[in-house]
Amino acid sequence: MSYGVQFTNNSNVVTLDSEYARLMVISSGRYLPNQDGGLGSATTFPVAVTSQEPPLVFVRPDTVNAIAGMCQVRLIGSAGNWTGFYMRAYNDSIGSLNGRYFVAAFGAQPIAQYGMRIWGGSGQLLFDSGTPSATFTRAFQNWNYVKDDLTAQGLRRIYYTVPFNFPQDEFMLINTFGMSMTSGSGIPRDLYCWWDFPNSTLYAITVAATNPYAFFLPAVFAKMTV
Amino acid sequence: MSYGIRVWGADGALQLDENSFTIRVALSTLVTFAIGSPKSTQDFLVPGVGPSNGTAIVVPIGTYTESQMQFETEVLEGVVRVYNYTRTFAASTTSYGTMRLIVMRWS
Repeated sequence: MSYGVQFTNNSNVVTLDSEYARLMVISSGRYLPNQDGGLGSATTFPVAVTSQEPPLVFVRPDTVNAIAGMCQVRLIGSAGNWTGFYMRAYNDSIGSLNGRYFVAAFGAQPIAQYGMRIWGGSGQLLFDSGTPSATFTRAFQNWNYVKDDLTAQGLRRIYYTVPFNFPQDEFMLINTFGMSMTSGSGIPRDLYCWWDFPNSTLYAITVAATNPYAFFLPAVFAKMTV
Repeated sequence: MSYGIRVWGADGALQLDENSFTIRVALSTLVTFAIGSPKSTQDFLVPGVGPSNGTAIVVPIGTYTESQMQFETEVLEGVVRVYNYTRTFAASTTSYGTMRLIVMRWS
């Protein structure tokens, strides 16, 4: 980088500069079970995300004495105007669709009335005080197999986990819990996320008729504050 | 504070400090596998990114049907590989369509 600004952290890693787009929190709030008789949740972002690329949604379900189970995550809106997101409970007994979320994009939006803005060399807004950077907490390339059983419908259900002890301020990326995955038959492998609070275990769950143990899905966690 | 920047929000919360790591986009591109493609992979060069400092995800680019399945990613040293099937699973079915590959670098 030949000009501009650059900030480095104590580990000598650049955290902000005028060269690269970073993951910025565009808006945040709470989600509720307000659809499908309480089995679905549709949230409207207070500020629409104007990126062309689909923004990333991170959630932190409220801690309850139950499993918060979610699936079928999808964004609402389209390129340049992403207005919200939807997700659905695992079933009528594993839901708990109450929690906090933030939505983030690789690039800032001009929201703040005061503070600081950083632009890149081609004029793109990289930082705005009103859309602060998300900070990285942990990531995993894969989930680890725990156990498997059969669902009431006789489909194979497999449980995978990653080390996570439910800190209040850590949010998990959920865009990946939307589309199903390839399986060993014509029935796709459905994908769910369970926040099993009573057992202090975060699960990724797959369900399919011919369900492989091989499972390759990354997990990413981030937070909005230090 | 020996290096860096601190940023506070309007609510007074500290949002970034000298110990924070942010998440940089290292690559964002569309990946397409045609309908009926056999099991196959596509490689994308991502210099400086490997399993110890990056994550690759694929996300839908719009609405999709229930029969459309997601691709799979693997982060190697300097390369991200996208699969239209479940690797190491011989009987895997295949997926097709277009998804957005996002490679994040967090260190």
